[in-house]
Amino acid sequence: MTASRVSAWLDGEIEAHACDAMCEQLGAPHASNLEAAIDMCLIGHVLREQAQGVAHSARSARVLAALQVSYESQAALSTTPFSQDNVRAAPAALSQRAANDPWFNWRATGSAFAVALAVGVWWQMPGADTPTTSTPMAAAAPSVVAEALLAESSRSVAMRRDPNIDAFLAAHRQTGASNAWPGAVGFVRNVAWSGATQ
Amino acid sequence: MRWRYGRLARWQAALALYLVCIAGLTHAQPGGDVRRWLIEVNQAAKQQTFVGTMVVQSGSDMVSAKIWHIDHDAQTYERVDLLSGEPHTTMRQGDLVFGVDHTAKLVRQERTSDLGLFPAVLGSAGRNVGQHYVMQSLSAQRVAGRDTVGVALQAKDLWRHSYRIWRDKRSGLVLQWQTVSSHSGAVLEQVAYSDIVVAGGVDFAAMQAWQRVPANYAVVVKDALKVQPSSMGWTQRAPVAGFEAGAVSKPQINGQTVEGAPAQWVFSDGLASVSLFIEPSSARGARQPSAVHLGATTSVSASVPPMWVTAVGEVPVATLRALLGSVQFDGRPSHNKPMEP
Repeated sequence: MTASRVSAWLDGEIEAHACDAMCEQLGAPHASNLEAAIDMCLIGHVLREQAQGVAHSARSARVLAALQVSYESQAALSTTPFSQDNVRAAPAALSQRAANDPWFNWRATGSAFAVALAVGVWWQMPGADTPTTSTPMAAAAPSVVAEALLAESSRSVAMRRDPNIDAFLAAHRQTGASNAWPGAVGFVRNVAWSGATQ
Repeated sequence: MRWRYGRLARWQAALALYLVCIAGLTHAQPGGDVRRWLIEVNQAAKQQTFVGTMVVQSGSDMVSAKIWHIDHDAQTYERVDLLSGEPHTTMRQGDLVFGVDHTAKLVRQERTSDLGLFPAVLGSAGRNVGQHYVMQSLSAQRVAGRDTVGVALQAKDLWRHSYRIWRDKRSGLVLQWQTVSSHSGAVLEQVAYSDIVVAGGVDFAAMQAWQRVPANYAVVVKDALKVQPSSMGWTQRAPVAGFEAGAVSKPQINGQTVEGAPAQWVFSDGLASVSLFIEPSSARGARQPSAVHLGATTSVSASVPPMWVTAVGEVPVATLRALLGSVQFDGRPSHNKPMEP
């Protein structure tokens, strides 16, 4: 229902009282920085629409602010555990426990057991003792090399937090993101992050 | 005599007013040609020979690298060695990039024709870049021991980030680049030289020797086939905040299309860019929509039936969501014709 009302507002078809009700439904903003951000949005909108002579009222600012609050709350709900906020929160949570805490010892013991179990399973697998360098890279056909690349990718799946995201970031920075970073700056940036994620 | 003094005073006042106006125009350039300035920056970078150490900071992550850059016969040659993490060398010869993995004894060759050449600026999206950014002068500062001139590319709205760039006064090289949140003003990512030697430090013979593939190293050629989005059944219902749709790239290795690899659909406003990675929903099992922030780069995943699409770009999350919501798969792919170069 709100979406259709927002659409109506954008089309200039909504009445004043309905506009106020929509703001209340979306949640009215109070933070000064958010209002400043909405001002920025309006400035951009005005600059783009200047040719058409579009005028913006205080009510428009309120609706945009309410939309922004609503949008940010939705974004916060769908954020994965890899978000910046969670990454920042992790060290603080760890620092509350001392290294000689019994909880820490139990965790260390559990981790060591898990590692030993993984090594044991790997040791029993057929071909586990085969040297990985049995096929010289120079003699490998392109298809074999491609398989090696895929194997490398699957290895990184187990090591990295989210291999899909990392691969997409690398591909985007290599081909898509070079627009915004001129010359050597863009090249080094792409190389740095691509190399760091490999 | 009084008349003479009066006339002199008027001339002096007019001159002072003129100088004030010139100074004001120099300080704030709201009508400055952003596109022309970006092309000028790119040209300055291409015409120099330099060696330097660059630090890249994104969020809490920091990577440093050493770069050797030389231009010879209108061809750009570069070598970049990572100084952080695993040893990694990358060579560049024109639009060919060679990533040398010393651990795997592997050379990955990629052709990235748009690397550092501002294709979006030169293309249709770039013609409108001035509609989305305003140029402003920044206070001068020293970077890597050199005097610079600073310029801000301030976004006109919240759909994109803003940028601050400091260029060397003498050579015009970009010495520091910051991506700034238009919403909060926070620096999301920055690249800066910690030291640099301009007009020297490397010669062409040394660069040529470096560009050779080491013995016993395998070479993998990575490429991409560019096709029209409509040829894959994709359309955009309405443009989003000036981000124009480009081609869709399908990855290839050694000339063969990689089966099951996600296709990449690029959008750009002439400066910032967004990639949509498209793969079948069933490719990796059940997944949930997600959002990731990594410095200036954000990523949002969502289902666009019957596909799963991951948007990645140096833009706010709201822009990615808007782009995801603007595309649709109509399931009627037209003739799969490669794009004209």
